[in-house]
Amino acid sequence: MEVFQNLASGFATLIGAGIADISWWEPTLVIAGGIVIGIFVGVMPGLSASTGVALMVPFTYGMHPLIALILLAAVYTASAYGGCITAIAINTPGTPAAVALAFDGYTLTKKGEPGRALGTAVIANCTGGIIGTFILVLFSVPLAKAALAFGPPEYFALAIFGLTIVVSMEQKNMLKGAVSTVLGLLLMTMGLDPITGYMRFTFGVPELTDGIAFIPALIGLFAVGEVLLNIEKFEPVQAALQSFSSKMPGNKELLSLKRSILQSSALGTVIGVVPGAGATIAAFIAYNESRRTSKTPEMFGKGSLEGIAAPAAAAGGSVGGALVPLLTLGIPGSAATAVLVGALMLHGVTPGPELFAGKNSYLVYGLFASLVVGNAILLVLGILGNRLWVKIISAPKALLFPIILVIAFIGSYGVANSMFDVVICLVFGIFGWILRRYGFPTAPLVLALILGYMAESNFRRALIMGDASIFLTRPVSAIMLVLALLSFAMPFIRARKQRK
Amino acid sequence: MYKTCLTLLLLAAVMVAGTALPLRAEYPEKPIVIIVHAKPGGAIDLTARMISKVARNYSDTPLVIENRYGGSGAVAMRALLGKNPDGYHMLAFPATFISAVQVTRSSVGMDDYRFLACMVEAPEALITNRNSDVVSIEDIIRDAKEKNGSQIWVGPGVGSLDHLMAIKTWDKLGIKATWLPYDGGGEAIAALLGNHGTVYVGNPEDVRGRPDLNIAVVSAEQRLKRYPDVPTFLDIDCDLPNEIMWRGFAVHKDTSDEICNYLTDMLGKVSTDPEWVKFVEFNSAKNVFYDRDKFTALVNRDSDDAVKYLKMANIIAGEPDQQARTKRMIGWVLLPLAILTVFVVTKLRNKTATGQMSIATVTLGIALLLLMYALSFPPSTNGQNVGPNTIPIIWAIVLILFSLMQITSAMKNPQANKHGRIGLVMIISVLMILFVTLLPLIGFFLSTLILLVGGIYAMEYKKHLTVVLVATGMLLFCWAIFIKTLGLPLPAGSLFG
Repeated sequence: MEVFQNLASGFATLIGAGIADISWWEPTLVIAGGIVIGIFVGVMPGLSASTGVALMVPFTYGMHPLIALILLAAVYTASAYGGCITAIAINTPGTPAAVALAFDGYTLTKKGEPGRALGTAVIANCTGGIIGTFILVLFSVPLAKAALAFGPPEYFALAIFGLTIVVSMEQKNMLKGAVSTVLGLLLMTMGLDPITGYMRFTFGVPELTDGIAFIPALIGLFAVGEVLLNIEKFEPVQAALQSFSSKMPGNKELLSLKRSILQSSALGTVIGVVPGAGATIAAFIAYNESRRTSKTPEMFGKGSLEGIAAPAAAAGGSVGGALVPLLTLGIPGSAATAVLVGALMLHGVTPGPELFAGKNSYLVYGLFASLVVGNAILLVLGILGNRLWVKIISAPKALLFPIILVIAFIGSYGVANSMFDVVICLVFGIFGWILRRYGFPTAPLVLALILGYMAESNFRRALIMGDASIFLTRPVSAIMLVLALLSFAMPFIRARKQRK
Repeated sequence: MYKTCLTLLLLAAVMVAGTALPLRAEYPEKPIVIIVHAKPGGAIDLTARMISKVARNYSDTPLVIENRYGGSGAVAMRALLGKNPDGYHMLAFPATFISAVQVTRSSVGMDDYRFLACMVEAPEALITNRNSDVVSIEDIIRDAKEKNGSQIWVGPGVGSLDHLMAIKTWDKLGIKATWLPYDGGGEAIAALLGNHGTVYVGNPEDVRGRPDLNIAVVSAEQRLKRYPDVPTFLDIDCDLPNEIMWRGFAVHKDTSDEICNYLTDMLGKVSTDPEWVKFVEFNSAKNVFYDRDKFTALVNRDSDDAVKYLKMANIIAGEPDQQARTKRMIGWVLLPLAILTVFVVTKLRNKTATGQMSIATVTLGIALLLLMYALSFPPSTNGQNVGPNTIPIIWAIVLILFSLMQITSAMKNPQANKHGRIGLVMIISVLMILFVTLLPLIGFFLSTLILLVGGIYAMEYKKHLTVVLVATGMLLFCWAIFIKTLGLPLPAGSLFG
């Protein structure tokens, strides 16, 4: 059990054992600070985990490499959770991965029980984070090998599998969901063609060269759209009467979620390993799988705690997963870990397999230990923070809504420091309001925006590698496409059975 | 009450305007911004950040990094040209910009810039996977001849510096292979490690910390000190001695000599600083200092090369021909026509146009427009059956079908339009549009004030003191967090200079 010895030495490192220039309290304090910053980063729409980590990099210049690494990892860990808070509280996912949390989380908030939703989310997220860390410690080498087997056909199959989730997500108005999805897929083909470099549908606008910026569109569809939808139903008197409870979920309730949390944490970690796929797809797939295997699937979308726990746990687990290719291959598994690579380089440390053996191995085990400690601190701060968030959403709507709009616009601007993105946010906001007003769901549109590019670019790459049979002759891709077909057909089959 | 309100608002306005007003003094008297086209954490971003850090030893003026990504650098290149040529904005200029300008058919050209100094260079290299059958350069050539064009080379982007390097190598070695572009270097390296490609085009720094990777050959006049066993192209009798990736800095072409000299001098001092030298060497790159003339010559050489090889690879597309333009015109006619037809049909059948129907009609129109555009795209240029037009055509046709189904379904079972407080939504929408229009003109603080206060009062909130407190608090919060802590370059307003 060398692994556990190493992990123990990691915890020792965290209290400054063996390192001359670090005092015993410093690492823990740094982790706590990083967690607070990370929560804030996640809460702000537009500030993604990668931006948050990148903004912290200049502060780490003068630090010891270990302190720098655990600070950035703490920011990364907590920003995955921060995104969940706004998704639940005001239906504005702070990070793309939190979109799946808005379905049930925000529904519970509307019922006046944001405390239960937030409590479930933080507990599931931290459990996911700790499970993800252990999977990282124990299985990083085989997992990294598996991730490398993922070539273009497999990425394409994964994207298609992800898209079939729409079918089970929108069983009530399938046709409207289909219109939303395909519209998203079509809009996602705008911009520079990934394979030939041809400019598609840019209409001479240079900002469209990279297509529609995804984050501003997401902020518009959710934050701005939601505010407009609420304003339409706004009654000053009634609004003042609604009260929100910060009551946490009970122990029994939490215990009933253990299967959903364990399953989703593992899913989140494993999908997080695949470079580029990351937390967002993991959260959606975990949500869908949790519903498929749930005893009460009919509760999903109506405030199911399982529906909150699943994506939150997956988002937590994906942090550990994304670190697998970084530490074993030196390849970043997500945008945020890409920034970590850069930061490590600034400190003269090269991420990769040699890190485990060389004189810098204490960094790896210190990092593992810091992830466990970080998640524990996040759990405490998250539970304490719930009261604050509930208090904020209890503020008068007339004050809250304009503030949300301002933050949504700053967030969109901050993505690339571009006015054009603010316009995108506004256009998608008004568009999202109109769509939802008439019962067209916006979540499939977002899913299509996330997966459309991944599906097309990898489809085309696969066809450069071989002919169309490549999707079926490679086992992983073939299995995933069959699963996708099943996931697409199951809701129809089940519906037919029920009719009989 | 009102007076307090007004005073506070005026005070806030004066404060904001005060910070935006420029004062003339000797250059440089405020921070110099380095515009970076990559996301934070990218190689060029780290280079710029290290320069900013080291430059503090030689100048009291801080250098601030501003990331403006998009369009393979087109957004950053354009952003610099949108600034005054007063030396307060510099552009981190990587070698990839040269081909990016061509590929994206940008209106920006190399003569829009003055090149200050080139600071870093790294040789281009062919990298292979040690755990595959193809490791050495001889293996690559043999395998390429066996596969006759189906050998796969991976790297970041299409028409990128590395793609050009691949085309040049094929040309000089007389072999055929296929370029498989990825979105970034990391993804492409993962593809090489997973044996989804045979050769990766990059720089020696890419193999550091990745023992499975092998440098097969490097483009340099002499063998690299760090990798003495790696042959150069000259060693294998291939005339590619000087293919390099470089990173330099440029300013607006109208910037004065005096300012350019100041900046070039400062960069020159940085280039000899031990910390900088250590940073560059650690990244397996070469620390160089090419002054304005030498750097400009390098840019011109690479520009000529880029045009030649991009044409060879069929990447620079021409203007759309007459037939393509007609198809696009038809698209613009079909869009309103489709919408009109649906509404006429609805009226004729005495049905009401519901919201659901209108949305499906608009998506139908959009799908028709984009379909006609997609039909005008050139078919695949690299000999594949699937080209840039395939997927958009498929999605457009599917969307047309779904939209038609939705229209028929909505016509059969019309659901009454719900009526909420549309008036209030309109007011808020107008406020938002006003905010977006005014933001570049009067700056972040004033336009935010209008949106906040306007929105709160529109929603019939009557406690004036709270409004003032909330507005001031929010502005202070934004200033402290977004501007001071996170360094977001929120617009200060062009009306204030």
